[in-house]
Amino acid sequence: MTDSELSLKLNKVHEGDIQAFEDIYNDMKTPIMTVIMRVVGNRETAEDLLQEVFVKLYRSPPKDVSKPRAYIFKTAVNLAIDSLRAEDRTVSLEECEGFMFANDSDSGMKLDIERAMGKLDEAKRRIVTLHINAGLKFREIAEIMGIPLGTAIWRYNEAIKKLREMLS
Amino acid sequence: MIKPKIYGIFCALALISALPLLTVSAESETNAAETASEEGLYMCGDEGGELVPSDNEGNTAEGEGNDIFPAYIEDIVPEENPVPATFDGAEMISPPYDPDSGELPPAAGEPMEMFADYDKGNGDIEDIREYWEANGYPEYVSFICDQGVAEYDVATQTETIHHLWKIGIADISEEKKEEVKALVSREQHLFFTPCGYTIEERRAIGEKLSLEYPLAEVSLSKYGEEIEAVISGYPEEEWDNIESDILSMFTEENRIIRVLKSVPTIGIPETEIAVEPNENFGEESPETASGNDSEIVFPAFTQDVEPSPEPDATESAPAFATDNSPLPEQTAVYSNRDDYLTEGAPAPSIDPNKAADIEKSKNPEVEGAISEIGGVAALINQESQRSGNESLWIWISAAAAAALVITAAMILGRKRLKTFSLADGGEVSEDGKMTKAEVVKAVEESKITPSDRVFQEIVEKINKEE
Repeated sequence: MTDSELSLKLNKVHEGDIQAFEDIYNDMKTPIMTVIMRVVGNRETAEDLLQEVFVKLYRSPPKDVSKPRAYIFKTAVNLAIDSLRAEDRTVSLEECEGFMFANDSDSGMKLDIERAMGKLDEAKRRIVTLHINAGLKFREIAEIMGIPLGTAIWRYNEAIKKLREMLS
Repeated sequence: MIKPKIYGIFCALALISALPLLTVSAESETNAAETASEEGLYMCGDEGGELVPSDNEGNTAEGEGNDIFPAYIEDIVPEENPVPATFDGAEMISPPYDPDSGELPPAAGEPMEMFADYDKGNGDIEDIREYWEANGYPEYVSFICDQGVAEYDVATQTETIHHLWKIGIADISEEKKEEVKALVSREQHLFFTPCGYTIEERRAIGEKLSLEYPLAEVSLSKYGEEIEAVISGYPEEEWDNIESDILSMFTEENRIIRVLKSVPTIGIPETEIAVEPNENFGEESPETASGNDSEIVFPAFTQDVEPSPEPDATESAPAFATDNSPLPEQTAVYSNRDDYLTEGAPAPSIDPNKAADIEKSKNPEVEGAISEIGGVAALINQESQRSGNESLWIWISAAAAAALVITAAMILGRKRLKTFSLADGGEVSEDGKMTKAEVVKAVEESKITPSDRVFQEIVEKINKEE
């Protein structure tokens, strides 16, 4: 779903269109869940936060936002970070990898990915997942994370290099 | 490129690179001026070293130096004509040098004629840079930049900027340094660094690169003598596929990637990339000069290498002694024997073993044949020993050349050809590692799907609130 399509759907949600809301959910649930999961590292918490994101979205869908997709991800990341702060902890993905892909037929490779991702520092992990899983542009990621664009790209490339090394 | 992020890095590097010089000076105060001058660190002005810690107001006290530029810098400049430096707490501002004041000029060197119309009275390196930008750089200057550091006072939350000007000089010499020093005022901290290229040469190379890489923009680094090839026009979605060392985005307005001395071949037809790295980059390593694999040209070692020597005949000679069948090699050597004989070469002695064999054989035909073959074998031994000595050097040369070629291939090949495309559209990494695209794909596929109940719970929450 492109930003313009998302904007149209959000306008409908603003008018109380539950079907448009469901369309948005179905389109964005997986990337948002992935991003949140990689921040909080706990599936239950991640699902709670996902609910919170979409409840907020339904209550007050963003209007006149040029990049609604980035806006939604920013909301999700902020909620996830707030959740971590509330618990006063940081998370290693290794601690939750066991059940993440328990029902997945290709869980071996995904576990490797998650282990490798877990070894990245949090900022790099967020950038990688926001870019790859959420499909956000570096420019948008930089805005979300409040870092310079060059830093976002540099960290992303460093993270990919590390992932290459670890996965090889 | 001196965006704050990069600026900080440069600042740190500048500080790190300057500290050892300063330390050396501190250890030998009597030779400090000479040492500092030799090392390339120079503080203009007669008194120098007036950089001192700022107080809460951002003002400074005198005489103690500070953590950034310690007071021993004072020792590297003459004590005559001391003029208190002013320091406004924000940045160093040099008192203008008045040529009519009767004071000595800030440095011993005299500006050359090309600076004749420059108002030395300003004497600020930033002014000089502007002047150079407008009127042309000295022919030996490669770049000039401020690699100063910022000192942050946590207590007062004030930031003090200390400038450290780095000037790249091609074919550096004391004369050239003095020439620049003569232009600046007293408190300018200058740091000279040798460079391979002048700014005009870099510009010329940049223009050539611009022409030869139609999809690339080329810019000169302001903070070093690097030439940076900039990819433009690539959609952001394709950035992941670029295998170059991406250093940074450099402007949000342009939204282009800056790649240091490396132009990826993605999207650029191979035929359009024809830069010869040595020609364009001179002493630069070909590794970083270009990312084009097709241009890898190995040094012409093979032209200088002697042809491989013939196999050593020593080992085969005994076999000839017991084998009458004339082999091609045997025939060839035999014909050569005539040449030796006609040149008066001594008749070959028969190997004692061969003589014994002759004694054992009472057959005259066999005896003659063995004698003949024994002579041939001896000749082969002699010849092979002589050619073996000669070929030893050939082998050594060949081995050295091969080692060089392998080394060159490793250097040239490093970071270049990283992936091979397969017929099925996949890629294989040259080094056996996952490719970047494979990593991205793997991460992409490792998505996490929420439980089916989540949406239902969301709807319930919404309905409950309503």
